[in-house]
Amino acid sequence: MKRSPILFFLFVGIISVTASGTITLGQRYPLGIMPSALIKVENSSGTYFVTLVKGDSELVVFDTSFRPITIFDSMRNDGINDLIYRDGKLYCFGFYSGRVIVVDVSGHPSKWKKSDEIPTSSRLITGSFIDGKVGMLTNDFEFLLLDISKREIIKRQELPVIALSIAEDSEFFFVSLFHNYNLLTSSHETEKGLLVFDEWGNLIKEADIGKRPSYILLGGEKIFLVSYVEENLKILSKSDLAEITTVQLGKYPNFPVIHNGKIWIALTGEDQIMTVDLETYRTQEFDLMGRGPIKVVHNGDRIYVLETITGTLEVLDSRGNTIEYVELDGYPVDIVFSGKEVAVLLQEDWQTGKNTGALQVIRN
Amino acid sequence: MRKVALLFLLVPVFLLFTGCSSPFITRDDFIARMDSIEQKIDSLALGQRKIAQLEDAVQELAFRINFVQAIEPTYAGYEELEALRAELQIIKNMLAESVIDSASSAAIVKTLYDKIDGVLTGSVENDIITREIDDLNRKVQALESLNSSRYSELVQRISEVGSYDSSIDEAKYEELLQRIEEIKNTETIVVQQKPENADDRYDELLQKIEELSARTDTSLVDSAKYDSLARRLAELEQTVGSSVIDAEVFNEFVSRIEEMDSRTRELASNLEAIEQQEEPEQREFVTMATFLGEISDIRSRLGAAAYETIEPTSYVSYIVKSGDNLWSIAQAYGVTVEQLKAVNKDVKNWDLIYRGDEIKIPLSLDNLMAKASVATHFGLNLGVDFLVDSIESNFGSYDYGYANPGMDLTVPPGSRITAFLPGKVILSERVNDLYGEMVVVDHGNNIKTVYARLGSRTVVKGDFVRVGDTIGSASDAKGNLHFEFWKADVPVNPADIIFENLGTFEVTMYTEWDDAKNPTSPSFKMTASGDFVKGYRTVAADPSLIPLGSIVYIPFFSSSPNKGFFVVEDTGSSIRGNKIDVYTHDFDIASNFKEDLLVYVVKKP
Repeated sequence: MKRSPILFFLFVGIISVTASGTITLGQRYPLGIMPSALIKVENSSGTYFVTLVKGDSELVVFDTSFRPITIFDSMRNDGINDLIYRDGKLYCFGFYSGRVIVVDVSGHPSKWKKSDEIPTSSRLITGSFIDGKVGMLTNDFEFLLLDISKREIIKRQELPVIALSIAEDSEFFFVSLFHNYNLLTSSHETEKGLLVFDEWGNLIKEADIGKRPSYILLGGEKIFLVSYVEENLKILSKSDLAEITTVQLGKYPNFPVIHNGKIWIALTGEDQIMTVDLETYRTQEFDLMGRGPIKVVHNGDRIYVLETITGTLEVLDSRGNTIEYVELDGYPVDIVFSGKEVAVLLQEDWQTGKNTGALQVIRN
Repeated sequence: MRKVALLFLLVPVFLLFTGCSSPFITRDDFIARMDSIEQKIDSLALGQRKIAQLEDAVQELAFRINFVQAIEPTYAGYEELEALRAELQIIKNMLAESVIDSASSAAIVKTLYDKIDGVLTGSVENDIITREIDDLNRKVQALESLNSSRYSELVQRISEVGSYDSSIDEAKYEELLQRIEEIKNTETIVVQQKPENADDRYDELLQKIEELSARTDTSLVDSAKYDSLARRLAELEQTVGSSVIDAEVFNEFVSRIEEMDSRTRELASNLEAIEQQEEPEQREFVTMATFLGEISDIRSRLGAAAYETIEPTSYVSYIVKSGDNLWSIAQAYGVTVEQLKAVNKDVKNWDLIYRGDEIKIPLSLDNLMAKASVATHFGLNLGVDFLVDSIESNFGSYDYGYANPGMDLTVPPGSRITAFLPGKVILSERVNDLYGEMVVVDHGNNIKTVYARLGSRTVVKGDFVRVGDTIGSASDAKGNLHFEFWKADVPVNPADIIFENLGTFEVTMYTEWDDAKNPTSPSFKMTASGDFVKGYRTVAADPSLIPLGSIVYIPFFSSSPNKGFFVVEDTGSSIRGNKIDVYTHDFDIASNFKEDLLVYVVKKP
């Protein structure tokens, strides 16, 4: 009987390699047009996942098993472009209506309701919070500061071009001017690339930073700014906006995240993901099986990559080796995790050939 | 006597220490356990046999893969494809310049079709092989998965048997220790009691020792069984061990597939290198999809050329068939006998018309074939989703291994299929499994239509049908209507009859990234019409030529998931006149794609 344990472990070894982490596709829920974000909401009633269906300007709420619970469709005329979750409320930014819709998300989703609608007279893109005040970017070349409790715009700053990204720390809003470079004329609309506003909406700093600065990340005393045209990552000092270094990335860098001392970024045009060490600024590329990666998300020791051209989810181990490759039949844009279940948001449904989106549930 | 007693004591102790089973497991329990273990062994042996079968299956697959590997990789042979493409381009140009007249077109078409079929047959075979390889891969994965679960099952069973056996050993050991202690105690008692003072108690002790000895004898027999069991288990371990070695077969198999994959990549890379060498300034891929797209396009052009030979005459030319008479012809075409006589003044005696005679029928084909009304005869509506769902196989596609001369549709079950032109039924019967119940109608002017895979037929050979007359009904099967339109023995793309041919457009492709937009932008993936771009759906066009919201059909993309149907949802600063920009997710395809393609308008808003 001495050989039995050896054989047993041998078998376990074989099985763990062949069957490790097999992903299976679960239920697929059709959604409306252009679902664009999945947000986790926790309240006294439970945990829920909210997706913004941008094209239909409605919210669809799922439970932790990703079963649809309710559709919040009373903002259909607002053209909600983005939303943020803060202090038990969802703040939805109306692109068409120019209103900030506050949705009270306490209790069961069937009881969620609009608690406020604050007009701004501008087409809202996105926003972020500092201490009860929302800094917002508009499609009308503005930075707005809204005092939520007073329900009034306390500052309206004109911007030279449309800005798309805003980040905040405890004191300042950081705004990148995406449209600072005109591709048709190959010239700058403005040399400015980064603006810093204080919590009262006053412009206190600005910097001439590259062409089409897009995503902003804040980490410690540094600002990380992705340039879309120059295809690089600029690292600046938060105190004086001085450039510390520039790291070359690749074509169409998208959705950078900071994880374990590194910036992880999807290089959509390179079919790669890349890491940038925040201490040494050394980079490392990881080739992918799929094409058109748009987002990298970490869960445990695994790396999940959403790929838009092949319409796939690729799972990598901590060393960057592909261990799973799942065809999703759609254009994945977001992913969330709930226990052993994973949900991927698809903007198009290639499986049915329809032009609407879907939520694809996956079991790990 | 004391020595004898000691001998009786030491023998079982010796035997027990040398690995025999517990003398205190009853025979029934032991046999029950043995039966249970044997059942498990049988179950394991069954599992082994299943694994062996799986391995055989995998071996067979490996042989098949070897066979496939041995085939020369002629998938869309580059030179042959290029030659044919060049020839296609010449024909395309001739068609564009209307150099081909209707008389010579049939011969050219036939030659061209033969060549196309020659190349495509080989390529389609390769395509089939590729699909077979894919299928094999899937099967292998399934087998691996199945095998993995079998291994898992085996491990579980081995573990169960092992733990069961171990538990017996442990219990046995414990019992043995206990009994040995008892025997030792008994021995002490026996030794302490002198034989000369023997009493009942002494006899009782002796009896007990004898009983113990007897049980020990029994255990001797049982231990032989145990030994047998142990041997069988050892054999089993070895067999199972060998299946671990056999797992290498799977690895080898996987490595062969990988090797094949790398060979394919190498081939593709060589092909690319050749292309780059020949056309360094423009990188172009000759893929089977592209080539089939070109074939669809050229076939549609040939059909369209034949279709254009349908003159906008003021009458239909009808060739008299056996059994026809003036009245029946007039009734079929919805005209009066007097009207027929008025346009056929050269017919002197209307009682004497013969098979093969030409009769002019005062009808305009243009009016009869008004686009909007044609689709209604097939139970079609012209919504893009309906069309994509309805069309199972497009004109010119190679879904069945040959070029489809018509269009396969799925129309609502039970739909009435009606004639969209008047004419005479020249065939109405079940032809074969592929065409099923079929009706062929001769409409005059060298035009014939074929309605096949019908659920039922309501006309017979020789019947005349008028516009809107029912000729059959649709079954509830998928692809329940196959329709062909022939002009002068050339198949015409039904799109030419149902849709409006806009001629040749310069078709390019674009992506959501083209103007370096960012996914966080409100305008990312948004079109000029306010909709969001969708792959296989959105195109940009000049709205002065094709209004936003129009549905267009591009035969080149017939094999795509959208069956070639797009919606004009976008515009572009450089998209003016006969230009169409097709949205795709793939920037590699977009940056390399530029073709002159035939475009139809299905519907305008």
